Amino acid sequence: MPHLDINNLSCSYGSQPVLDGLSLSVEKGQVVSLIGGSGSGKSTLLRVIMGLTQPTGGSISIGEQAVDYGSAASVRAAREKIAIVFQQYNLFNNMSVLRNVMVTPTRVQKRDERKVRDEAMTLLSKVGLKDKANVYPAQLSGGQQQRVAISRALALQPQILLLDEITSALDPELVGEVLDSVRQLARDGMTMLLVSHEMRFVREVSDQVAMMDKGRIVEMAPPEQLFTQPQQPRTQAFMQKVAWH
Amino acid sequence: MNYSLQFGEILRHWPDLLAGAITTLLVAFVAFWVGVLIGLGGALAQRHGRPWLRRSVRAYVVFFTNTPSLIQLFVLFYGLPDVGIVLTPMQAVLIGLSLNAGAYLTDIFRGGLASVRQAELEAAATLNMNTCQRFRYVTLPHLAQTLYPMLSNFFIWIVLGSSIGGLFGVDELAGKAIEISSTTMRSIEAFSVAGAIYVVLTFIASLFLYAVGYFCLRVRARFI
Repeated sequence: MPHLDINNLSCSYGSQPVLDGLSLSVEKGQVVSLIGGSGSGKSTLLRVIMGLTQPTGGSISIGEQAVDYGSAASVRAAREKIAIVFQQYNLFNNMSVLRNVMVTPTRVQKRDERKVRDEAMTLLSKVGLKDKANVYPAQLSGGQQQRVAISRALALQPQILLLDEITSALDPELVGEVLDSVRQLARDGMTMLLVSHEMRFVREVSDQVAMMDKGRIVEMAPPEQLFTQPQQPRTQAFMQKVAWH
Repeated sequence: MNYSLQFGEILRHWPDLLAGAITTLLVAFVAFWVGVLIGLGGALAQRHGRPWLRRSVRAYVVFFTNTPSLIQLFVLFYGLPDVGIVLTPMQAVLIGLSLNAGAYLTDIFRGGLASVRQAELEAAATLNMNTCQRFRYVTLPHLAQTLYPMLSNFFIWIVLGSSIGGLFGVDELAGKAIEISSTTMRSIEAFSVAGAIYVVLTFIASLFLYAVGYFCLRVRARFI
């Protein structure tokens, strides 16, 4: 039984199809990466899973539970199990780092404040930001903000973590520190679905890599296979173009 | 020109002037906060309301920002009795100033709402915050912080604008000055002392607002 099961999913902006009958499943503890050119629908897929963009067809199940994106209660239930980290961090600028991490567990999930604080501090020290707990996002570098965003997502204790190009907005020298945090999560067995342009990282951290084009998955395989012996012409063309750095 | 200034006559009335100053602050305070509530409601209605509501709010704003405050108060105080609604001077002034402030603040808050980062609201949605929580934790702090300098200026503006109440017999600072000037016949002294008290009031209010902004909202605004 896959942890996240996406079946024949479609989504369009106006008459423009962005996702076109896409199917994908992620097993528990797996790291699945989505690669592909811009406009291939990678980020839209994550937005649809989170209920930020309405699908026009198909289905998504989390665990055994099918998500009904027309129902607010069903979307709420899905968001209890899945968390997302965005490209632009999207931290709450008016809150300190610690409060960014704590606000949802305490105010939305209504969990015990003291316990949440301990967990939040543990999460922040895991990403090396324990001493920044009381500063505001604007005082942090992009890499630090992104690590706070990861902690904020993890504070919800999600079953699945979605990462949407989380290093694309960062200065090159800050990419490493964020990817280290993700590597650590992968080692801890977190189920993740991520979109990334860091090919070396994708190759290293993923269990499966899915090549997307025109709203579909054209090829999905373990990283070594996909990177060294791509089967589909679209994947082969993509592999030739991406810079190996 | 052999007018000799005699402030003693005026300063003997200092308890009256002090009471007037306190009334001025109270009137400004009430008008400001009622105005803030109207403004927030109006801005939200303009952003999220149905077309008829948006148009009504727009009409209200256009009316109150394009007519003199004095005329608005005349209508409330002298006009409404014709249709059977009699307001005391204080009621008329409070209602008039609040509605006037509400119209300006609707526009101010409308700009503020437009500058809330959509990405933060989206993040809040994925964190399962409901509409109220998103407003409470994202929108409101953003408005407080970004609009704070404008709102504190606006408060000062209302403190000064509330002097219009004196014309309707409200016992605020300007009203007291008018009264003292007519009983002592010392107009220059009465009004210059009242003017000086306004300067002191606004200075104290600015200092207080600056401190609140600095320590509570992390607003690094310029002082004066």
